[in-house]
Amino acid sequence: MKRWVVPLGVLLVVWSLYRLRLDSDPLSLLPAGLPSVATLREHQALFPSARELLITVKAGTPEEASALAEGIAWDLGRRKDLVESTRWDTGFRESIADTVAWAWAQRAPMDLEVLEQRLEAGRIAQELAACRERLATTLDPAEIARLAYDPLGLLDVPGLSGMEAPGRAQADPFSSSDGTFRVVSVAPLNPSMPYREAAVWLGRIRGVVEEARQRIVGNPDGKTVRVAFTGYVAIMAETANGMERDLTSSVTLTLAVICLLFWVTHRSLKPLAWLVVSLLLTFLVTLALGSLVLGELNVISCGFASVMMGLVVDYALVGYQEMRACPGRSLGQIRTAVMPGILWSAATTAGTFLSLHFAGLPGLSELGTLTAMGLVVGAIVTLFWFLPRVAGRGPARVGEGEGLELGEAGVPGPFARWLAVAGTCVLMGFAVGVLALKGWPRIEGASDPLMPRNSASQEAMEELRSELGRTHKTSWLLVRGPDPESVHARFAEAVPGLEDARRTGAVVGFQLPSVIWPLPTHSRTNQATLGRLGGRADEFRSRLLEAGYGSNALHLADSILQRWHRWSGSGEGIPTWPEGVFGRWVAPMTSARDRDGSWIGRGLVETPSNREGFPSLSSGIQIAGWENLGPELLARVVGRVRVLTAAIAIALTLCLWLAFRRWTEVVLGLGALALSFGLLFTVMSLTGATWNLLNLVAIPLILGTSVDSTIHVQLALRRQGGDLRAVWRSTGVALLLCAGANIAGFGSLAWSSNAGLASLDLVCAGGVVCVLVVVLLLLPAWWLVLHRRPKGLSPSPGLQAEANDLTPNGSSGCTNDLTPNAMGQSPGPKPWTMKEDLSPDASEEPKDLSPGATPIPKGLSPASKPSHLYGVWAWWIALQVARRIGRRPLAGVTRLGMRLYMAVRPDRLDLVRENLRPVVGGEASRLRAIAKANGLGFAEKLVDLWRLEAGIRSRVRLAPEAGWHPFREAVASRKGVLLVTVHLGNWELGGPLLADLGVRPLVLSAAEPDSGLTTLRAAARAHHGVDTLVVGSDPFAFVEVIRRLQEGGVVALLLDRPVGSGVESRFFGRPFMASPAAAELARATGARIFPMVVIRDAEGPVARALPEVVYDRSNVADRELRRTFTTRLLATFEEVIREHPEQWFQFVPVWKSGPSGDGVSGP
Amino acid sequence: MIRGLRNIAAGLGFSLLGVFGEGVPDPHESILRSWIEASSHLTRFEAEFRQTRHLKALTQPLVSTGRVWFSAPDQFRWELGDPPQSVAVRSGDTLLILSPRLRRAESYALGGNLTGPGRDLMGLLEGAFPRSIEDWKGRFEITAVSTNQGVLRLDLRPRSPAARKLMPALIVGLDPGSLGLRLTEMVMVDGSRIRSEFGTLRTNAPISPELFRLDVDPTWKRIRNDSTP
Repeated sequence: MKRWVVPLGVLLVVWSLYRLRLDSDPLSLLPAGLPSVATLREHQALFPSARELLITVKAGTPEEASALAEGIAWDLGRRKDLVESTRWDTGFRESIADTVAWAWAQRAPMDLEVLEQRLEAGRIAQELAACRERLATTLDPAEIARLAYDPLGLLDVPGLSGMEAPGRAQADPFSSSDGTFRVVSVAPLNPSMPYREAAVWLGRIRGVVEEARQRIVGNPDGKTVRVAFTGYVAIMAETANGMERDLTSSVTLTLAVICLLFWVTHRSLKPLAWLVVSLLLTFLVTLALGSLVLGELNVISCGFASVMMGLVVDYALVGYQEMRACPGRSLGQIRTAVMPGILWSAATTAGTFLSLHFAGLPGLSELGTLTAMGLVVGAIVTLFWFLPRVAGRGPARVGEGEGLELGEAGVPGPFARWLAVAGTCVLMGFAVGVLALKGWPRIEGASDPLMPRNSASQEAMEELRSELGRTHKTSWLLVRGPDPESVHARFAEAVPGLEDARRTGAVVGFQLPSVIWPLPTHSRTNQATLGRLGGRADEFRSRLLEAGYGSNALHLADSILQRWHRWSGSGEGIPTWPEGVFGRWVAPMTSARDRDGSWIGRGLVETPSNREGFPSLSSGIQIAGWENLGPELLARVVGRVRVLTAAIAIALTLCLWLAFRRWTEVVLGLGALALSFGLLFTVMSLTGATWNLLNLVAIPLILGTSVDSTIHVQLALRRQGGDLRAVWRSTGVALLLCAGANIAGFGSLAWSSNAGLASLDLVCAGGVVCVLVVVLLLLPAWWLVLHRRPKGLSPSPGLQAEANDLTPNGSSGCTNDLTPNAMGQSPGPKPWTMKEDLSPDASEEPKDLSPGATPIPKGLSPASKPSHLYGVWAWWIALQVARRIGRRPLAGVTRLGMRLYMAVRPDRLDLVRENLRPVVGGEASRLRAIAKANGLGFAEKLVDLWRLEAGIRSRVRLAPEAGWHPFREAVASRKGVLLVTVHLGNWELGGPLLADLGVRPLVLSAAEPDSGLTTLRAAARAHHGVDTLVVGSDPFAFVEVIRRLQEGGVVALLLDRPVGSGVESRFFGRPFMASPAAAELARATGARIFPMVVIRDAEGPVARALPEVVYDRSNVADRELRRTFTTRLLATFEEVIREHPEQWFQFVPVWKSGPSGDGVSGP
Repeated sequence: MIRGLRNIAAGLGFSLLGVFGEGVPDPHESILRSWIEASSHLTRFEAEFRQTRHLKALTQPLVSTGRVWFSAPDQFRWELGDPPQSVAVRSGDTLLILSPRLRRAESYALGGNLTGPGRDLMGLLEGAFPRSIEDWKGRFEITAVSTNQGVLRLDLRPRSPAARKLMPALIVGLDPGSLGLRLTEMVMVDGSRIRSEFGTLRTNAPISPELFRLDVDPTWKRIRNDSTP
């Protein structure tokens, strides 16, 4: 299967990457549901001018500017391979007759009647005389021009002055008032081209323009003539390519810094190469997944790469650092050790990023999805691709724990801990003070962050606005209707609202195309009147000549009358839009047709530059503009951020709980997160930094980093038993490396061409620093304060053992770090609370035998965290189910569950195989089969255990062995009996059996992962007449054990859990860490010792009493003798284990120098 | 669309647009200084004038008469036609243009970006009645100085390209002795010319303040152009 999975995966990735399309439209980043954004999108889609390239020409003289603009337009217009059309003026002068003739046709029929009356034969002479008099006396130059060239007053179309925005000088959209600045608009052949293609297209356009400039101006240095490019295409190409460049350089720099730091720290080339390959693989797979899931990706969303890389590298470095710190471990052990942290971290951080879906910004949402996918892919790649390739490479090279006041075993002294706490208080006070005085960082709603800074195209746009007198914010007003008449009516409806807005200052001016809007109903009605007027052209001509007008004055009237005559006589009718150049320009500028055939009219609204938002207009009128998006976006974002923050807080708490299962650590995690953000807000407040649409992404990133680091550090603290030096070596260095890489990567974007990206990366870099300070400097101290040992007690030998394990020369291979739980069998923290681990102390005195003499804080347990299934609720549910359904179906379901578990956790099976190797030999197929049988046997054992604790007793047979008689005798003698057993079969079934024999045994048990479960299980035992003594929490518990034995009681305990604090014995001829408790209790009480097992054969459970281990107390007088005695005790179980290896349930590494057994060393 | 119409109109009728420019050629500096010196002594001015409009669209020139009053620093009245068909009154920062026949009054707030006839009228005044040499030099340059038929003729060119685009030249005729205003002639871009010849001049004589009052018959149509950006 694996043979074709990899090539298939590669093919899938390649295919996905091939079909990957990058969207560079900034509008895609904004919520489509926002009315103004929807209007902008509609505007962008329907009006071609919104996607035009604008070429600006600034020259010393109007003539020069005009010549060059015309030349550029002409040259580009001939390039049909590049350009759809070009324009450098409105063409109104050339098309004045076309336009005016058409405009009269759209007027109300009554207006035409008035015109016809004014031009009646009897009145025309009088009209012309008045016109001459006005020409002689008017002070208005515009009137002079109009009356001189339009003596019939045909230019005086009613309402035509409505085109003007009140109080605003009309600006030529193609020229500055002095004519030295000109604009050429260029419609691309493909207005929807992607940004990379746009950049190439723009390059070719530049070439044509430069040639035109050389030819027309002939000034190669270009000092007197300046040509610039702006408009949608130029800005989009520049923005998107700039972002791509910035992100690429950021990713490259991040990778470079990772490489550098990794090299400086580890000096190992191959792992470094695999790290880079893993990161790139993660990136490619995520991109491919993104392409498959999301389709088109926005170029800004590709910023996920730097975010994701910064987080994924954590996983790789944490795993590698763990490997370096514990060189004796196998791949499976390393993976088992780091997997919970990495998976929980990935899940939590991915969840945080996925929550960005609720932020209401599609760009953020897409980035969040990509990053979440990247984190999951990265975790998988790290665990199953990176770690196998770097396993066992090079000698360990670990850092030192300088800079901390570390006591023995790297545990900081009280002073250091309280110093850190005091530092926390100072920082919190400082943060609160600054935020109270200066306020929280502001959220900017403006869309500016999406735009480039120091951008040539943006500067050109600013110059264009300035030269054309557009000093106000410009927004588009869109009106929709089924036909032109309804759109016209809507424009009329909008006017009162706009006038009101103008009076209140919300609007500076507006332009509606009402007067040049087609009204086919009027046209049809007016056709006859226009035809009559057009037929009188010769009459008008002779009257004008008589009145002293020259031929110049007749031209315009002739042209208009000719058109009217033609429209009425030819049958072609009146066109929808004016004929001529102006008509071809104005139609797409003011109108569009949607796919459903409806009409959309476009007007322009100017709002004060110091005022945010749009004026409110009547319904059905849409208004939108980039410059006025701010308030709407802000309202949207702020509203969502509140909800999002609450949702993330709940989700984080849940995830942290699932990761830690301890409220103290959850609270510490949340505290670290809160303080990190508090510090970031403080720094932002002090520096005047603000939140914007892009740098809001930093929030989940910092949340992710914070949660990630919190989980890594606290789990490392657990694994290393609070040994800061060890935590620093394994996890601290890795996190520092990651943070360094992140800071460098993000910092490099501070000079990005995009203001939003720059601010995003400054905030990210600052946030990572804050997280690093809190998580590495303060969090461990908080953790130790909350988990500190009682005063006057020496550090746990276990801790010492942990520290020793972590030394470069440690031969134990950090086995304690790897102690996972036996799939619910004994999932309590180990080794400190293992029921069999009774003498962690090496003292010779009996009183020191109790683990309670050195109570081990719960949090310091070096065992890995319990199986998630092993909790009070899961156990309770299992008991309820066991109580209600029969054994057979329950066993079937449990076996199925176990098969699934073995499929997803093959490392567990590997571990079992390695544990069984010394027992059954090294034949691989046999080992595999027995390991599988072992897993399924464990399922059977669970079923029996649940049924027992649910109150359903299975029949346990007594094997006919000779051991039962002496046992009964010993019990009757009341000299104390110590029952020892191993993790073979179902030892819990032995308790009720003893009760049946009239014995009430005391079982030594560990505290379960939660107190509820401990109580639940103790109650179940008590129900069957078995007492439970939880060791580990009560310092005097062991005294109770001794008392019980001295009073003639029966105490049961397990021998074979290999723990760091155990005694090194031999088992199956191998070094083996066993519990010395039995030997210690023998020395203290002289109790008789009986090995006993409960195994399952074909007929069900059967109890076997092995021969009594007879001893003399002098044989256990000193430590070495007790070690030998323990070996002897263990040896009594070897035969029965060999008989039933599939029932020796050991899911933790038991052999001292690793499960392989190949590197056995020592005594 | 009306913008296009206005551009054409402005090409013909745009008069003296005050915009910025560079220095004045040295050869004419002394004449300019003398003219401004003479104008600075002019506190009041009253004259009749005859305006001839040689429009390209008409075969015959249009002739009309009018009167002008000026009182330093910021009052004037301009009447064209007999009876007046167009009247312009400035007092302080307000300019009022009245069209009695149309019963229409247009008011302009000075100081902002003037547009239309108000701007043109102000440009003409600033060109023909200079008060400050620096200000004047920023707006015009003298291209030629000549004497013809007893009149000192100054050929002026607006410095602003935009103004030149509409009115390439302005001619000012001065009395060679007193340097008082004798005529102005605006040359339009289409070749049309508007010439105003001043006669019956009275300088620094009392002028009735009533002439500069901005009262408007309430029954007239009043158009305010007081929005400034």
